[in-house]
Amino acid sequence: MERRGYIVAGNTHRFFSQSARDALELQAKHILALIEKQQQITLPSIRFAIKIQTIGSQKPTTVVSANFPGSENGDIRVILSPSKISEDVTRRAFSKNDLFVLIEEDQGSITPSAKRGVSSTSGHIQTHPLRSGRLLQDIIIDVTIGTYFRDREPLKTLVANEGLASLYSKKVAFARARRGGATHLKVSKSASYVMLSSIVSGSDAEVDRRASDIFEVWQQFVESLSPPNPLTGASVIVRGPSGDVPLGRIRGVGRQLSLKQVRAAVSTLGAGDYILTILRRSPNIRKKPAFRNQFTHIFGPNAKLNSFRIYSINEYESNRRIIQELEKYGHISIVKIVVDKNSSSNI
Amino acid sequence: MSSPWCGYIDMLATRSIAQRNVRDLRDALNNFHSALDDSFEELGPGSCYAFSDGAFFSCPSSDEFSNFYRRIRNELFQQKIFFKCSLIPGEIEVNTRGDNPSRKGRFVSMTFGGDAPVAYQKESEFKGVGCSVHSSAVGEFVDSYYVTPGSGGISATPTRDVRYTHVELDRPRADAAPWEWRIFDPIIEACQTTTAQSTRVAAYYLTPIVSAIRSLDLRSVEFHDHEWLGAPYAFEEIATGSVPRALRQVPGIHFVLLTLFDHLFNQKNGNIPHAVEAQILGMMQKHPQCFRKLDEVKEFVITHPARARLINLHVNAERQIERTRRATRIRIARTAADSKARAAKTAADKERA
Repeated sequence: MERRGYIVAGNTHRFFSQSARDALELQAKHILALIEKQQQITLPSIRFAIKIQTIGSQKPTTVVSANFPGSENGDIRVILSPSKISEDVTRRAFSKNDLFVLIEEDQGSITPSAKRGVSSTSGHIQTHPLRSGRLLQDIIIDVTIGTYFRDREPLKTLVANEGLASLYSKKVAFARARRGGATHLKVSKSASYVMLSSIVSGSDAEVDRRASDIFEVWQQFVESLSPPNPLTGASVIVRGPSGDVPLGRIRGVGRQLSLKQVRAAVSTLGAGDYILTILRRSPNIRKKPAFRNQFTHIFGPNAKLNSFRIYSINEYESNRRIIQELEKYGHISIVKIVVDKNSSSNI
Repeated sequence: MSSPWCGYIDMLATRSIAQRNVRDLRDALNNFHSALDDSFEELGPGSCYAFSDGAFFSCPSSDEFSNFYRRIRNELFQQKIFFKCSLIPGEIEVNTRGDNPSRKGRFVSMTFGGDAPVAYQKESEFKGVGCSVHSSAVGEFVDSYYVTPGSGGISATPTRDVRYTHVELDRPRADAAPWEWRIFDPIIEACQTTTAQSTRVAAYYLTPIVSAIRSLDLRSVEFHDHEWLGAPYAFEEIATGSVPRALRQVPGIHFVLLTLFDHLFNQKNGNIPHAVEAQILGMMQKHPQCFRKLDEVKEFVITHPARARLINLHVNAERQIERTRRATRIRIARTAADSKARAAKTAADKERA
């Protein structure tokens, strides 16, 4: 099903021309392609088109009311309007959609603000006209990334058990908790939907940074939904600059990296300090000659994503150069762990 | 006192849009009506009756029509909504049968009399995209034609269209009106897309391309150091071969190339710079149809002086090609003979030794 967005505006709107809308869609697709390349993943192929409904001498509310009968709007994800649209009209037309976002332009809005939508699966954002294009892109990106993560745990189970409304409210709660770092989107307490792509910083042109930040924030959101690590006493702890934390609290460990396998490996070790190296990039990267020998050296010839190896401190020192080189480019993560055999918890 | 004018405008491809997607049809119809609404003030004290995918309109003068039409064309073409339109002298009369309170339901009827049927007929006869303007209309109009492929060949029929502005055919300019955009690319894309469905219908889109060519100011065009100078975007797209390649399957595309040469010839007062001529000729030679049965091509496609010049260029170019081929054949033959002679001498020397 093709997803659609509509700009309901007059012929002087900056996105009236087909070429302006094509440029918007193209940049969103470019960012999604960058995410695929950076993360070595394949995103679902979702067609998203931004169309125009010209208003002539009518008000946007009248055009929306006349042209969007409720029964045929399931594919519409967003409407952008240069002025307010009646809540009754929007509710009648779009409240049953799996997702619908209304973006209203307002010259007085310095910072975009996410507010309550007309239903639990809809959002409402007010923004300055110069920011509306970025928000349209954010919706296109979020729909694709969201679909990617919805096909995987824990979102798959969350949506199956609690529905989309619950997912969206958790996104809002996550965005509000992160609010301190993001000055370019205000998320009100009553907001019912927000695009996670909108809470990353970076100018419109910084597409590489936007791509990596968008995926990062989505991963953090997904991991925030994971159940807390069952380990209470830390038999394996991570020693970091801000203190010690249980291994299970480290990003990706327990979800993508099996804690059970780590425990099994740790059980054969004596007490002391070790270095845990985790393969974070797809093994496809090891096909590049520059990296092939290095990966094989650490993880063996057939290592999969999230394979790990534990080094004693002496072994690590002998291989420091290779390991730090790979970590520098984000191919592996390095975690300093402390194995405590005297802990009363199960390993 | 100027006489009144009237016409009919009919959106194209509504049936195929409806077959594709009901939502798309609703969008297209809404945007068609919004374009008429947006442009209506240009009609002055005129009138416009829009319904479904058509509209009758009337205005006191052809100048008002030009302004009205240009805005509609720009707004709709850039959304890839295309139409046919007619403009004739005359007036539209409207007969409305209104609500009858004694009936249970609602019946509303509008019939159009006066010169409305003639306007409708003229629009139906027109087999192009854009407007067919009556010969007596005065204003910003250009001579154009539409192409009809048939079993006996491809024929062209003269018509008149509303001139395109430089904004609509060139690179972005600061003096563009807020509603005015370049619309050359959507025309080419629509023609190319339609070719895959029907070459007969694709030929409709040659009319706006011809009208666009005739609207171009080519007086300053030069070609120097592998670059076009003073050339509008639409001209460059055709002259570099990009448009002819994209539309090579459209019957009648060679007429468009002949018209391009003709317009350039006339704008340069018969003196096209040699470098420019060479580029245009090189492009046209990739479409051999341009040089077949030139005598049968109508004057309104390419004028006689331009045709004579083109034939002259083509013949000289062919002769040069033949001379080059002959020289190459002779050189190859000589090289072969020399090689044979050397081989024989070497063999003889060995024998003696």
